Amino acid sequence: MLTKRLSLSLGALAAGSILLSGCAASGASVPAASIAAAANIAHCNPAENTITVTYGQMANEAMAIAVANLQKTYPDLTINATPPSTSNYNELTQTIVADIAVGNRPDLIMTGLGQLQFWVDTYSPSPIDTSVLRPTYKTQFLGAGTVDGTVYLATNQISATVLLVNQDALDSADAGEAKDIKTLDDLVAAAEKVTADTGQPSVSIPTDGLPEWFSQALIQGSGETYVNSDGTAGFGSEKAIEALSIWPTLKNKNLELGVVNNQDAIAQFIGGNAAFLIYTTSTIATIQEGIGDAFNWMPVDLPSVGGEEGALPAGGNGWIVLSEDACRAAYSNALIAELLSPEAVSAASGTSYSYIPVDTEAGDALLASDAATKQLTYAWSYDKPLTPWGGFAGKDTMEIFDTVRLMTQKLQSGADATETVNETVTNINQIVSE
Amino acid sequence: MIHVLRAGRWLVITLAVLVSLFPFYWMLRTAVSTADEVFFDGISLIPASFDWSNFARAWTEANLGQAILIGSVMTLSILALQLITCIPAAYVLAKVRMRGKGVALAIVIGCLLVPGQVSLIPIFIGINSIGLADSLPGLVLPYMTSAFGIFLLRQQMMAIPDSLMDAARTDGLGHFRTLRNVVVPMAAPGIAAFSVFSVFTHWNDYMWPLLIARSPDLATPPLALALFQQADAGFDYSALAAGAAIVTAPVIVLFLIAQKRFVQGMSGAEIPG
Amino acid sequence: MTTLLRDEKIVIAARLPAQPLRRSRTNLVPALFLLPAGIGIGTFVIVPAVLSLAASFFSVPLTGGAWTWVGLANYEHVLTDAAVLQAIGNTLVYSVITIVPSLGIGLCLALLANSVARGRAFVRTALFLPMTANLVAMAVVFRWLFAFQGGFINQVLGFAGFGAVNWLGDTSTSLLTLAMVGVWRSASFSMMIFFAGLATVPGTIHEATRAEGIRGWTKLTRITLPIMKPTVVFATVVAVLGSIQVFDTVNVMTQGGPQGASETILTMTWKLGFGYFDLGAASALSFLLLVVLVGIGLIQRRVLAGGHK
Repeated sequence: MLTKRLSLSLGALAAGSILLSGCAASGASVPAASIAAAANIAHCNPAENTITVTYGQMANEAMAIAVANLQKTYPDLTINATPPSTSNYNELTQTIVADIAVGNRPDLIMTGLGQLQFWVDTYSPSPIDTSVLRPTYKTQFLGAGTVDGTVYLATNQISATVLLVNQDALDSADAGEAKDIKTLDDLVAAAEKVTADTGQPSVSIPTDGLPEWFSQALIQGSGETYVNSDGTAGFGSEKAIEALSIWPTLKNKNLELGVVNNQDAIAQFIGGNAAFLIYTTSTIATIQEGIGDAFNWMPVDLPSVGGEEGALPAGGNGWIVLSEDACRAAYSNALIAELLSPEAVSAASGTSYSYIPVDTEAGDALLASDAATKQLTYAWSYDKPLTPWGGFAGKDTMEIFDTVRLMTQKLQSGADATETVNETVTNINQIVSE
Repeated sequence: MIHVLRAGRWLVITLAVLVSLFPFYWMLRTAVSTADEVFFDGISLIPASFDWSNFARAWTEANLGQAILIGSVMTLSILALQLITCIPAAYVLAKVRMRGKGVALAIVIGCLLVPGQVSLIPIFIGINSIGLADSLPGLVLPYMTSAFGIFLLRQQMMAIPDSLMDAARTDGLGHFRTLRNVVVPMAAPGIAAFSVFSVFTHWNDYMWPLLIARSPDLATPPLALALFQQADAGFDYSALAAGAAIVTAPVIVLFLIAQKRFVQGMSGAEIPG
Repeated sequence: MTTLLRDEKIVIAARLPAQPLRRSRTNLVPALFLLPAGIGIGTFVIVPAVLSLAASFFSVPLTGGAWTWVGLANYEHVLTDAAVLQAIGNTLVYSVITIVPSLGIGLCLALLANSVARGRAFVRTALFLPMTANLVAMAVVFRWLFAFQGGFINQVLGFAGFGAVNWLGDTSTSLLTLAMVGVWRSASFSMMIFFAGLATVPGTIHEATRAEGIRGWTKLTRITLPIMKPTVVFATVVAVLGSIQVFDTVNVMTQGGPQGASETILTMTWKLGFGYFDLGAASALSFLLLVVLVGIGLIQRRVLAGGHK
């Protein structure tokens, strides 16, 4: 006699196996990593094509402009562009991965620059057709979107690591000028003076949201290597360790606020509690709005060990073409060209987010406008070379991110730099070799 | 002595009320502060200057009107489905003798143990495969029944005296009429409590809507609020708090209304004689 | 004992005094009553859970390709990972420091709220509110209240002469801070459950005990709580499940940091599945959690059941 329990269990198992086999079957039918090189767009019929775009809210304004312009050129083309309500790049990646897993692979996606390697290694995107980009596009920034010589990501809204300084606090402590802070020792010296003046810690380098980007910036800024060409961790050198030891040094002298969370750290700077904040150029606009006229402040280049000016990693986002169909890839590239037109770049890099403009025309227009304050000018005129963000194997991206974040949090709480960094390098190399 | 006890009791209650309400108060305080009042030194309970425009900004920029509409339709649909599925099931598990009931009960309790996050991925695949992605049914269906609800209502129903059940049987009432005339009224406080719980839980749910609801028009209240939390760009703190206040308000209002039913139901639960 | 024929059973039933449970002549109507819930649970809880369990024995690729059998490799990976073990430890600690306080405080508050005559509605509403808090919204509020520099709580501590505490940024206090927020919410929930339970205690009992002169602690432990047994069981189950399955608070306030000090089992599962996209490992960890929960459930029934079901 079949008891209810048994029949229920069998039912569940049956349903489960059907779905399971369905998974396996659908897997087999997916074409193996098809790299669809963009076809010549003249051979494609817009009426027969629909392109889907998934992106973050920060590109809303630019997307509206770009879609409108593309529709003018190809009125029969259907463009589906809706941004999910994600609040950071990780969530955006998660939703796109989930979509692909259920069979809805978008044609064009936005991704944080740090995830470039992940996308390239896992989903074999279509290379960007750089010939469609406007002549005023700053191709120097394409380096941040290049893997093994091929451009997979068209950099869109980019930022660099920067040191924000409360000049009024420095003046009150007689600590000199912000622009004279070139080395990490300069930073420590200035912080000591400000802290002596206020009685509170004065530096904040948060370790929650962008810890490995900051680490990479400190390391590369001092001329050292973050990722070796063979994919292993390259920052076990003495100078790299010295660069990373800024955290424990500040902590052991009671100069660092100990704030882990990004947004809280920004709040402390805006509120005048932290005289020094390491963050991104893209937040200069919102910080400016928050501070208003409260005090005099300015962004300066990130200091390095000996004042070297090594290339920093690019932060921000870019566009990747995931289409598996040649024509849709072509239309996606056309949309990218619109997204990177001066008009769209102005909207994208403008006064709500102060990204570095990737188009010279847009950049000039912004710099000439009334909105160009001293702080925004720094962001809008940033011209130094930028390297890719990260570079470890795609499948290990998140795990290595967590490993480095752990390292920075240990350093922030005062752990010994040499020991902690070496341990991290070993861990990373182990992850990469698995 | 009694006065000391009574005073002590009031002290504890006052303390508890303060602790319970304080975070809400802080949210309101931030919601009416100007941007530079958000961070300050010292203990300041009332902001120096008030800025009421935060609410308007939150309302328009996060499209809160639409979000509240979607949130309401979604939570009420879920509640309706849950009541329809849970009440009869709880009744059977509490008061009806039948073969296999033990198994059914064990399954219900087992479901309580399965964390929601575990089922998320397979359900996502499933909902997508039947084409309900980015739709209201897609938001509602996975929650059509609640093991928690069945469990809670069963507990309530078990407390109904069997004499009442027998009276119903001798009066010739079938299962359905018994359920409607006897069990539901008696279990009203539990039903009210569960309804309140269900509405809150689904109003505040973030993970599932994040995966399923993509169009801006389908954003639920937490998704709409997340719009202010752009990691790359920085914060509009006061508007965020204002938005949070706006989003929490309907739930509190509903709660106040439900409370009356609560009390009614409980005073009606007094067994006559 | 031989099975009685149906007719004989009916005859006997008619002769016996009123049975404690309704006996169904057919199982049809009750079965129909169970059906909708059954479909819901089957489709949206059981099948996904079974799938997850199955997935834990495979390596599941992201691109939707075929699953490869790896046997117990996922389990091995998960149980030897230091971060996972830390998460398990954290969850245990968190549970211990939240379950008893939230039940205890919830019960006290329910009793107190029940006993006041004036302003009862207001007190009740105020004490229920924490349960309704939207964590995405409240997270920022709590992060500010607990902020190291300029947070309200540290300001008050400073006022009282104590030093500031780095609540959320220090490995030794982050879990504790989350527990405080957790108790804030779950005590409110427990209170609601106990409050509803107190209402089921008939007024006649109160009168009888008052007449007998039984009050206070004796009344509570000897009379009230035993009558409220189903409620107590229920509140305990909810509290235990809620604390072991803590996710939202951690996710919005500390994301498991710093240094994994506030990572819990579910946040770790989430990280494995959606962060590292290692769905096989995530499934393995969630299955292990399920086994533990079932174990706890069984133990609880043994200890608390006695007499009821």
